[in-house]
Amino acid sequence: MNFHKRLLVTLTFAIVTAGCAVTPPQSQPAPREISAEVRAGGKLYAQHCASCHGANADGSGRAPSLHTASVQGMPDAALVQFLTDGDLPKGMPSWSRLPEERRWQLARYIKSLPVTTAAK
Amino acid sequence: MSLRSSLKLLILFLLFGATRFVSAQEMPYFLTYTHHMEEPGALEVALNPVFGVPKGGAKQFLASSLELEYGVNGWWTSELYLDGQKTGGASALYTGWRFENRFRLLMKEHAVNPVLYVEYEDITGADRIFKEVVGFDTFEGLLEPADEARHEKKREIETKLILSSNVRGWNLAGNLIAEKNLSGEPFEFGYAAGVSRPFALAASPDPCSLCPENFAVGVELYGGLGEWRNVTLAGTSHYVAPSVAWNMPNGVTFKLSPSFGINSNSNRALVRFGVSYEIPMFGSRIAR
Repeated sequence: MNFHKRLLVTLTFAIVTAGCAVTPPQSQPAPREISAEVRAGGKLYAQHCASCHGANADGSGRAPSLHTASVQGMPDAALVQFLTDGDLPKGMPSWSRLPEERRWQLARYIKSLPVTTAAK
Repeated sequence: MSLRSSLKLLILFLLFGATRFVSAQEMPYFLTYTHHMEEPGALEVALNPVFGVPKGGAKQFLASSLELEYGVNGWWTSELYLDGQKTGGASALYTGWRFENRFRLLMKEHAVNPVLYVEYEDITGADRIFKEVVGFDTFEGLLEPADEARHEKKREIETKLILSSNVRGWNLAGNLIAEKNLSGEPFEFGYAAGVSRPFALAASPDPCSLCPENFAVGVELYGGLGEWRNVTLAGTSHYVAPSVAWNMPNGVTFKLSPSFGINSNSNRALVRFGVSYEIPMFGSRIAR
């Protein structure tokens, strides 16, 4: 088998194997009974938001906590709009690349987080 | 370490070493830009090989670009490309570099979102990436052997007006291209347009790699529009390119797109493959 055939076989095997591998999410949704929407939102949060807001959404030096009253008191539609627009001058990216359905799932997950007063 | 060994290691890293959950959500486009910028501080590393099937007796080639895309801030993204190619029977060649910047002009989401694109490129005539088709680019441009074409220097400024919309899960994007060779040739014009959609709009609750939400399909149309004082479709070449992207949850994205020439001036086919990995918060890690 020449180099190109071996490379093709290796690549095909690697891609199929990688596709079957599942990486667990870094953050877990709230501990009470959780709807599928919130779980899906938690998965999206881990993929798209956790690197800045932290795995538990308690903020980092780069992005604020999402447990604060100002976030948790925001109407769902306003939160979805904020995710859509972002705040580009302040470094919050627009998530309009995600379909609207996923932005709603994200918003439901965020609104399922407990409110705390001591935020970073 | 040989080039082949390095390539194998890079692919294995992308598949198995890159296991963090990150935010890649790539469109399936190769040429068409949208208004979606790189996240601030994130670095995306991509390898984009192109296999060319020319006509008129030109030899098949394999070209590739290494792409480094960095989110400077929420409205500004920079990219560096390093290009190379190998044409059948000739030596592998480094064919130059490109540096581009994209500026989102409106800070909120609108029905149509404009982005300004400015690129400087310093490439040779042997470059085969086909990152855009402009002016009167045709299959005849590939007839010159790569070893000779490499001596032709192309220092060019390229601008694009990117217009992009998201509607009910669909993305529609159009790019108008104006390219100027700094050696004094006239402005050349071109276009790229694309439409795409993920297989599934909502995410499933459980982690998965092969679920429909991770796949997006699209189609691109691109070609030349003549040059300054001679804007026309006559004598230009055009391509249609169905495409698919697979965004894996670990941040690796695979893309595949065969482009087919749709008029007599086009090459037969350009088959593009892309693999990319996004490193979130790269800038702040470096700054520490």
